[in-house]
Amino acid sequence: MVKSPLSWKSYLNKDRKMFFIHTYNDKDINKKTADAASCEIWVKQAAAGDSYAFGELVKRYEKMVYNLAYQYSGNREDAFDISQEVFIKAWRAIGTFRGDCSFSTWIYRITKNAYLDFSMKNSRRETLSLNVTDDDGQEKELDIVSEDESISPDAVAEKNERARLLHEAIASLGEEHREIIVLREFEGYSYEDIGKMLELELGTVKSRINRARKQIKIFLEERNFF
Amino acid sequence: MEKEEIRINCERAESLMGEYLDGRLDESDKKLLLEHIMSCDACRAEFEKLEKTVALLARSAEEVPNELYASVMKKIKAEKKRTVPMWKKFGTACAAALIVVVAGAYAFPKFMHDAADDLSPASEEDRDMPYSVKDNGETDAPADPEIGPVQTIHIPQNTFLSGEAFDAYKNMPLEEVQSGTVAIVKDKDRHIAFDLLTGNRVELSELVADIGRASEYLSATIKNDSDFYFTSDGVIIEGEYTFPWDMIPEEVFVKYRFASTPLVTDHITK
Repeated sequence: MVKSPLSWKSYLNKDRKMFFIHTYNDKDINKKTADAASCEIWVKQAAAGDSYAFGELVKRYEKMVYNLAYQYSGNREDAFDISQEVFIKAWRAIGTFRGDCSFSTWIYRITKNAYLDFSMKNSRRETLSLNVTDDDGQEKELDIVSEDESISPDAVAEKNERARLLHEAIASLGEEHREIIVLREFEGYSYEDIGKMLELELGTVKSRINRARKQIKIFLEERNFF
Repeated sequence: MEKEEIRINCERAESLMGEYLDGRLDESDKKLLLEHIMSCDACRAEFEKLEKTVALLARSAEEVPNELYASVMKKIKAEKKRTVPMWKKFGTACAAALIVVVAGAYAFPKFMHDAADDLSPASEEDRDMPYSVKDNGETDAPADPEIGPVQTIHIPQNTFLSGEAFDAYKNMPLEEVQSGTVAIVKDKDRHIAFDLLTGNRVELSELVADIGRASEYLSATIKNDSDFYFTSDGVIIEGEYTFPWDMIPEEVFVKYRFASTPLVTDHITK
């Protein structure tokens, strides 16, 4: 039984008429642990050549892989191709997966490498970060960005204004922050798991998460989002 | 000097906010942060914005194209035929045959059948998948009978939506859950509301405006004094309030069922 440090009434803010008490818990971390256990079975069966078991892993990880690929490449078409490549590589190599890291870490590394291979092969396609928007000298680069239809306003026109702004806010981050947004906010991985995936100290994970969130908050603030 | 202390506190508070939202703070840091937030308008405003940002980010993932799964499966099946080593195929076939022998069935034809499967793309597909997947990702898999089309959530009076019960709302698309969209609860003598985005309780005086905003996205009907009733694209939420206003249990159990999850019994602590 968890008892709050202060009674709930003491959190009532009379001006804003809002309560601040929360019962956030670590259930998402527990959920991930349970998830990892069920994945282990699929991994073993997939390693033995069972493509149905591998399909279950695809279902479980496609959101992470596709979103990472999307954040790295900046467009949906490439994200699709990279994701496909990731799973094919994973299928070919799953027999060599020894479990010395978690499957999520393993698939993350394949994704990162697949993106690096992909960008080497497609060096003609520049992946520009949208945060290069400061001065007049950048006009040309911005034109290149706007030519990429997948990140033009049209491509996200189906979403409402809020979704569009959030999309832009994430795109304004640097690659390492976009990556951590996928792992923490979209996938809900614990700080510890993220540390293992990215091979970072816990302190670096924390500060990266905080910085990414703060930058997005500032981006939204500047556009009167709140 | 005092000013500097406040500034340091603000910095510290800001550094703790993210971990608080992720449920990682210990009780003493949590208390420190909440006390600071309550006494510092600037930090409270920052916290509210950060909280909204984090809640919205959780819903901002790109949707995975349906075709990805089908396309990957098609490719690996083609790949499988080329790359599975002979000994593995042979071993699997032998194991299958052995089981059949033990069961007293016909061993040799089964062995031959398995071996023949490796050469036949159609039978390969049938054996691996309990149902077929079309190229566009649609399947003819039967709906899970355990998961009903109507979802019910019971939220005891005066609890805060959080944990898994609140996480269930994350299944709703971003477009449908706006800040200020509230679950309205009519208690005996008052309304209470939860912000569906953050899980925050919203107080009565804000509710007048919130009802207006909520009705843009959800149609809400209050059935009677003890229930609330919500529909949004078939989602029905029903409340159950059995505790008198002043007798709030420390721990309550919640049952809910959403389209993508089985029936779950969750517990919420206040």
